[in-house]
Amino acid sequence: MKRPATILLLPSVTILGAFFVLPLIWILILSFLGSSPTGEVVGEFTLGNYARFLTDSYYLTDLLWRTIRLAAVATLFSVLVGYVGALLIVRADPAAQRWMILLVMLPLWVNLVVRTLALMVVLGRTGPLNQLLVGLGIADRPLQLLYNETAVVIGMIQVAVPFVVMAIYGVLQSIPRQLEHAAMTVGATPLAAFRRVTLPLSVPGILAGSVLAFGINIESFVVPILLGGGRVRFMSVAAYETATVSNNLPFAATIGIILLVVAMALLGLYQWAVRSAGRAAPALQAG
Amino acid sequence: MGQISVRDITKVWGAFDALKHIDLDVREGEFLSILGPSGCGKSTLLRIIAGLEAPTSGQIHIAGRDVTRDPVWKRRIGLVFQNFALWPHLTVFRNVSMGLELRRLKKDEIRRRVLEALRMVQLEPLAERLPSQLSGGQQQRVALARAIVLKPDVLLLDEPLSALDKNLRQDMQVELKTLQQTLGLTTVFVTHDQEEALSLSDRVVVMDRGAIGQVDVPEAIYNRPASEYVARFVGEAFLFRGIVSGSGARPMLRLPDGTSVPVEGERLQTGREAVAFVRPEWVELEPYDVHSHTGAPRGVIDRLMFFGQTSDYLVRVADRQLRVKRRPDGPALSPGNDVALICKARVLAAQVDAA
Repeated sequence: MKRPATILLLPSVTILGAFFVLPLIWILILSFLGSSPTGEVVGEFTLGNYARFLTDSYYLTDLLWRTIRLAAVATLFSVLVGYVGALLIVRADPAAQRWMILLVMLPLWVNLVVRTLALMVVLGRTGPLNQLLVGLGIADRPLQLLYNETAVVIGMIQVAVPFVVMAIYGVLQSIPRQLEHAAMTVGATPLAAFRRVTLPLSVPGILAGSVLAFGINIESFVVPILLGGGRVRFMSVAAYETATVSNNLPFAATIGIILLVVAMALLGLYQWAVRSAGRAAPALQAG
Repeated sequence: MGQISVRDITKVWGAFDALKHIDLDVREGEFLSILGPSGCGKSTLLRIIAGLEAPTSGQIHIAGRDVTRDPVWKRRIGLVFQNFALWPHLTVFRNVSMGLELRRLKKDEIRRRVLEALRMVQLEPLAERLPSQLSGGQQQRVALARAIVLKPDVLLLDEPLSALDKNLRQDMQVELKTLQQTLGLTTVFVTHDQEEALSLSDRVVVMDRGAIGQVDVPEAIYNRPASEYVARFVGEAFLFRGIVSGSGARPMLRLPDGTSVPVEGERLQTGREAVAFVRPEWVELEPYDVHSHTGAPRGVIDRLMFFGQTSDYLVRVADRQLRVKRRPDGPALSPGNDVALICKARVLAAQVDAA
């Protein structure tokens, strides 16, 4: 009986297997191989790459920790901005909602490199943002907004927000407005009604949105390489440079695998923490 | 001035007048139903009283205070929604306690009052359940407890029983009425179910396309409807149109087909056109007899409808159909029988006033 379903799965399994799983396995194997000074891969098993990464504080703090930290900060802001956006869309009238969603999705039709280059123009010394800040007297001279961590974080937010909006929008839309009205009938101001009813009910959306944003941000490559201008160390950029500039494929593979494992572990931990906090909440309130 | 006064309330949506100059007073402790078909504006009126909707013009007073400009959360009302609108992430206890928490009452006071309210709706043992773990009737009770725990000035109910199945609905009607009387709560109950409105209310408001058709005690609404609309909407009515004739002691309504029906009503004037109606249980059927039934309206039995406790005859009268309650002591009639309608029809109040 299950045969037709299996056959229908075949194309996607083939494509994923050939172009995703197999290369990933090859990367995993590569990360345990050595490299000669000339850049040839040495075909014998070694833990040297991992030892090199995990014992060097440069790799651990300057590279891995910075990657996690920037991705986390960007995720936090993405969720904040995305939540407000999703809420505004949900509360708009249905005709306006379609256009607002279209506007949110619009950036996704533009190539990421193009979008990031556009952002470089905006953040540049003579860019519109600096002109505005100086013009309004908030800053007395143009600020350095490019080629630093701030620029990278802004870039990552810009990439992640549409995904966060859509994740949260879906959940917010499923919460009947009447639940807030019911809260108002027992004396809640609109703000209290939001805090006590809509916000807790939208936690699944926040969870989904933040997982999505963190996943996108920590693997981010175009944004740190362009907006970081080589000055902001980032895992993906380091892997790329190790493979191309240093010509050390096995060590680049190691960086990649460590990034993957760390990202998955953090996301797993995060989901577990939120879920168990959610389960504990009703029990705490019982007392 | 009543506990709730609605003064000249109008609500306009674009070109549509949802409410047209509504005036209504709800007395303290009264159970008042607003009855009408969907789209008549009854829910809109309730939402305006609650403050969930703003009127286009007019004033609302609750407990002597002008609340027209007050938002919902300042109105001290209890509202029960049609689909209950319980908060799915909170336990039964917390659903009921939220209003008290918002008033920053002490914890043991909150606990005492929540449990008291839950006891009143017989839900105390289920306090730690989530709404999704309750049946429809239990959810309804939580919604009720949530509304009464705050000791509101008025209790507003928006078709609260229509989501329940028939047997449960009847049980809940009794419970609701008992609870309302125990607490002496001024209650406005919106429904499209006329039996529900008649059986629960002290007074019934019948609404018709954004206006009030009649406000009166249930008995008067049923037996002395003001208009054809009210007569037809509340219970079943068979209408006779004709001209008042006969002496003052035994007035008759002469129908276009030459037959006449005895009628009653106040201030009947001979020679005037009038509309009279009968209810299914007011009519007696007799096998048609040319000698004794001359001049009485006649019909043909179409079919007998059996409902268990009672049964109805469907009688064809000219091109219309009339429903008549079968009397246990009446003659046994079968489809095709010629029958005479023995009844006293009642002239509609509005018709009399118009004359």
